[in-house]
Amino acid sequence: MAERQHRKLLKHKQNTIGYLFAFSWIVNLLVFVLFPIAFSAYLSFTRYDGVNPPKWLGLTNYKIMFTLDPSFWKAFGNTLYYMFGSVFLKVFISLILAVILNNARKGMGVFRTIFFLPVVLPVVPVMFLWMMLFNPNGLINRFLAFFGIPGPLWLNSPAWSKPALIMMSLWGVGGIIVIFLAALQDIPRNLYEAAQLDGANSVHIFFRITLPMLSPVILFCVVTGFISASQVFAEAYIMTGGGPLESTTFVNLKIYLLAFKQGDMGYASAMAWFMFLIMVPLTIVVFRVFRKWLTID
Amino acid sequence: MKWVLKLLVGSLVVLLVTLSFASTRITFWHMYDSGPGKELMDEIIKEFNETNELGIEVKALAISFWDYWDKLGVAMAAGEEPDVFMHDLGNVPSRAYKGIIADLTPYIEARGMDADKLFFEVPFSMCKWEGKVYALPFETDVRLLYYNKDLFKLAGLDPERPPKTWKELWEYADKITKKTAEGEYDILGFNPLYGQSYFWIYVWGIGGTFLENGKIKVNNPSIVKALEEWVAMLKKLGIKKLQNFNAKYGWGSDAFLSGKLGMVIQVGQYGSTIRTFAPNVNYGVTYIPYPARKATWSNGFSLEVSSRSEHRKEAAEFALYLVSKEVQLLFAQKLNSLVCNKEAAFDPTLMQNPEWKLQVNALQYSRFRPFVLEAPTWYEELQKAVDEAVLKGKDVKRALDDAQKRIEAEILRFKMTNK
Repeated sequence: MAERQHRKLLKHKQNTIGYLFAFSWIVNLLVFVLFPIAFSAYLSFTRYDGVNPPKWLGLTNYKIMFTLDPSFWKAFGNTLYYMFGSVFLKVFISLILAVILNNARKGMGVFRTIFFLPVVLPVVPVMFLWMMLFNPNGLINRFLAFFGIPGPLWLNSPAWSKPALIMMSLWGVGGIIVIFLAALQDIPRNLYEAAQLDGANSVHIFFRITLPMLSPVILFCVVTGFISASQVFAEAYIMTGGGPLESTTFVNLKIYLLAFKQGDMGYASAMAWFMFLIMVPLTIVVFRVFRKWLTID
Repeated sequence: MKWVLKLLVGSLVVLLVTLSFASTRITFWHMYDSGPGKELMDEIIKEFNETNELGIEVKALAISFWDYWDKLGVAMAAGEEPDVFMHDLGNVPSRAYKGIIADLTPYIEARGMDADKLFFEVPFSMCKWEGKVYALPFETDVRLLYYNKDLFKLAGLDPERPPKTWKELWEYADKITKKTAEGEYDILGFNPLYGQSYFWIYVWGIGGTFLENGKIKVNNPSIVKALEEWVAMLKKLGIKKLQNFNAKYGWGSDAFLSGKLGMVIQVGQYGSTIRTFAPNVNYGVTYIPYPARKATWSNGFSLEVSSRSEHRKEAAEFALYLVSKEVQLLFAQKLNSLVCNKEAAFDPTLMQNPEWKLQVNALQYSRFRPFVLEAPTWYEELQKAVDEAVLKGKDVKRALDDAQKRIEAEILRFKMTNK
């Protein structure tokens, strides 16, 4: 009996110590994460210029967003364009590269390092590098001109600015390749051996074994990719300023401009909450679609 | 032990006496963060701290132009802005409306100053809102036409006779322009998409206006006509070729300084840029050519006092010192900045310099973009309409109609949220 009581006490003590250790993190979470999130929900129902106290407006900000502000929907469309473009292209290309690397007998380590290197580099100088590449007289257009193709104006053209940014996002495939490589090596050898004994060719093996076995990882990369791509900001802020003709004004840039340049925190918060709420069903849809396409254990 | 007590009381008295005579400390933020600008500002502040009779001590913080706005904006949101600060002369009323900046009228009146006479009318008008003065005009600028005399000679033009009208401008430009073997522009006479050439300057030049009965109207017939002409000019030159030309001169290289551009519209201080970075460019400067009447565009910096400062009087005192004749003269002489104090700007020695004289004279033809409280960035919608017409070939009238609709939606949005 005493023994049991003692144990209980010890457990209680251990819990207290555990909570004490986590205390600073919990405070951090409450004060600097959850409170601002909750506060921005409140602000989205107010007019708040950053100076005077917030004034309650009810649903006015949301009403404006849905009925009076086509520029928001343009920004939303731009963001979706970028999300779908960059995520699927990135996952597709890194899958191909990962499979090639995985089958390479030599040099896997070297190439893995080369592909991962861009991920480590600081983004701002890299963006300046890409701006030089995308210059109408830059390396990319000179390369195209070599084949007699007149290159577009890239970042200066409303039609080509988003494709250019999507192309640039491929710079970061290294991170996904590393995940895919790890997953590829996790696939049990005996599956391949059995397939080879049955006389399956490499195309069959890829579509019947490799791809299904990778599907949970692909889903993971797509979902996290979607979420991070929906937050695209720095590229537009640094490289294009949202232009030309608002073709690269993504929602996050718009939120930033509204909140910090125009001092319209309330309306900016409403946009941020709309974006947050739209990401939840979008993620669910991605899950559903994947479940139909691929087998997931 | 008695001597200890005596010492304590004594030191307390000394402390109290010093405190009561101590200076009032005010903070000041500005953008002169490097080079001769910082030196001059430091010197002027030191001078003020030593000589002012109210015992004011100014603590200044210099922040680079690029970081200035974010830092000041955040400080304002936190209620921690400096007592007095530089800001954008183009949108003073938006801060007055929010109640962040103090009404300076009483301080100006207490001095018996005739501010309307003392300052140039155009920049000073931007400081007023609802009949009160909320800012002091510190520094402004004007846009002028700079031209390369050597390229003029090469094209057989008289380098002492720059173009006066827009028609002449194109006549001259066509003579200067030279193409490469591939048909791209090597030397361009004039490029309306380069430098500080903006569509609104052209609108004012043809006698157009953005205001109709005090309300913004970007699709009125004068503007439609101006944009039609503007697009036609660009189409004639070839928009893609112009953009290719511009792309060559984006990275710290300048087409005019490289001797590849015959004429360019730039701010008044561009002369010193040419002298510093391309001393061998033999340049002339004149008013911007105009289709119907002389016009140019100004911007500038104001001095504003926080309405939440405890030392508004002292802060205003310092701001008034910065726009006094003596100080403004120093800024004009040492930094070549176009000061708003007329007594300083009309200084006889300065006026002997033809480039200075031209800037000062151009101020009377100049204007700011009209300020609209409900849509302070209305001109961005106008610029968008221009870009749509130029880059996408959108119908001019429709582009401007759409811009007007967007501006009206913005005004409606303001009204809905500012009941």
